[in-house]
Amino acid sequence: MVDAEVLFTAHRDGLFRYLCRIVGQEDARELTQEVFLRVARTEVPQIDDGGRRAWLFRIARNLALNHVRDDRRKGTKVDAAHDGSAPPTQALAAVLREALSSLNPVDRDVFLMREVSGLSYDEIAFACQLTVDAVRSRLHRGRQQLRTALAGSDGYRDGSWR
Amino acid sequence: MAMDEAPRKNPTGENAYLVVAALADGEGVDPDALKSALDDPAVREYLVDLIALRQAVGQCDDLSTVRWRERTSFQARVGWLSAAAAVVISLTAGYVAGQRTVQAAPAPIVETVVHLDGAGVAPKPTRVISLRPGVNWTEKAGGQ
Repeated sequence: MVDAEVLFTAHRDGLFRYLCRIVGQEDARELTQEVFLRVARTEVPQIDDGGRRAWLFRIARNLALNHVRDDRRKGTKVDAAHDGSAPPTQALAAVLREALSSLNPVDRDVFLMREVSGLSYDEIAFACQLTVDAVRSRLHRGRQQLRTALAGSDGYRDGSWR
Repeated sequence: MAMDEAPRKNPTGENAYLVVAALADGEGVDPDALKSALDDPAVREYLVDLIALRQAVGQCDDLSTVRWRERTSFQARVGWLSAAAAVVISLTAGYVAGQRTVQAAPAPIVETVVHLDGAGVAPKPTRVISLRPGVNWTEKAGGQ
């Protein structure tokens, strides 16, 4: 039997990173805790590790969607502005943030789960309630858009941010 | 993902991109399909872009995670400092309050009254010396 604490230790960072990209750091911290509060209140499904991770991400995604919806209703904006004098890494981060926010929300979730949290196609398919082929296709579409958006950005592909 | 679910052999168009993406993502890939896909320079360029994009995302991600951890440890430090400060303030306040209380109200004078009736009577003598006229009290021998 896996309890919420074990899941929290194993998946907190991945969930936080994913949520960070969607709702910002402050709210991501709260939502990450909220995910595990919900987990503690329900029975953890008796499935393998990958399945549990996908299940956690599905909860996190639903919470994030509700949060974004509430924010939109309240008229608050999640994203931080980009400081023009920021160093290349921060400038690239700002371009990336902007490009991510311009993606279709589902494409963005698929991309983030893959690139930020390292989920497999199967796990993403479960978390986003899509087929594996749809995941593959959305991931490709999102990457193509980001590739176009980032082309020519300082630090992208020239390795200067390293 | 099983190998038979991987994008088809001899991929064309978007499929070629999906094959290299699957490779980059650690999913199952058909070797023949991969070989065909990598014949296309545009697909090779896409693979390089995938890696660059991943590194860029990873780098930006490290920034935010580091900030979160710094903040978390800062919060923890602030928490401990607050607790320590609260203890010191409490002890100091208690000491000062105690000092002021002592100064404002000095200890009361305790008056002890001894009643000499009954219990205060001297005990009976064990030896009585009578003073009689004409007896020489000058001690000469043995105190007789």
